[in-house]
Amino acid sequence: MRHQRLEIFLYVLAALIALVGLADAIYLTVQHLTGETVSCIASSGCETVLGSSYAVIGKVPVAAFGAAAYFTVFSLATLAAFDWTRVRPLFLCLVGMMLATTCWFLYLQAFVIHAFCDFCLLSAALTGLLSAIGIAIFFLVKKDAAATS
Amino acid sequence: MRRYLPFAIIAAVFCIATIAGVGLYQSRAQAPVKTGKLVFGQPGANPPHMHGSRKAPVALEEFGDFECMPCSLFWPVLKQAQKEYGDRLSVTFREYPLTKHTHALDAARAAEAAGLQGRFWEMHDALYGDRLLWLGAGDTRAALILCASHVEIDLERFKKDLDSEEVSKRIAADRERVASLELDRTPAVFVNGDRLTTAPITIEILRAAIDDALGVKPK
Repeated sequence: MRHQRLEIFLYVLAALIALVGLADAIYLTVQHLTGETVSCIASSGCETVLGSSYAVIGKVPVAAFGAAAYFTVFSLATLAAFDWTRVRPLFLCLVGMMLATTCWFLYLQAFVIHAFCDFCLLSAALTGLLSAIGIAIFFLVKKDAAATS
Repeated sequence: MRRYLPFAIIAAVFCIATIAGVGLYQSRAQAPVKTGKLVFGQPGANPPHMHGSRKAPVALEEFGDFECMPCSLFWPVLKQAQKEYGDRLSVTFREYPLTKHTHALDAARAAEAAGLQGRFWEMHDALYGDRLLWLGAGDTRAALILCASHVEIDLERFKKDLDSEEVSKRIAADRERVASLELDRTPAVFVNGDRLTTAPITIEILRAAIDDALGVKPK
């Protein structure tokens, strides 16, 4: 219980990061659905990455799954911040899954497609931050449990 | 009240995200121009090297040769038009290395090899920018590799791709398109399916053609 305020702060931070990720994913989904070219800002591989076969699952753009994931993370983090303790393991599980997916997409960009997309790298960075928050929360909870027992 | 607050926040974010997504979609998804643009002839290499939006109201398709002088003169004109018209203009480049040009095929292969790494347009610009350097070099292949080194590219992969089957197939597909359109010179430029027959194509001529396609009255 000693770290409750810090924990709430971390969940709020996670919710805000998830919002940025949601905006990024919505933008990429819309660009895909409208057939617009996505221009990179820092790199030049957006067209290559987002035009590759790895950018879609069936007919659904991967970015749409990303938007759903970020929205779910936002919802779980918001509920957790408001003391809905039962959703906390779900939050950690989802962030873990997102981290694994992000690692896979980074591997594809680096070694298969040989191009990087700014928007995908932004999403990877956000997922990295969410993972760091998840790990911090995990250890805080563990520490509190040890202190109370 | 506090118990329901997170659900209110989640619902509000859901509504805002949905409205933003739909709004963005509607603003981008304009009806495509029905001018029958570039639907004739063989399709050419797929995916084509396209710069700009597929939904752009004006689609320009150039059949070019990196060795040809008029093509190199058309390059800055095209850049100027892209700058002026922004997302209203999309540009597609097709390989048409003329057989009378001894180094044109090597240059086309270099551009396509760079394209396999997603660097076609950078290589396209480098080839026209350094045209005299690689044309005047004794060893064209080495000069083209040097040219590619100015582009952010995996040079080892580029060297392998220069002789690859995939590059050959892309050039062959573009040549089939050239043959189906009965083209005989470069640059051959089409704006929304209409060929610009004047030569050289100056920025004024290109502007007039694009404005015409956009339905803008000449100034």
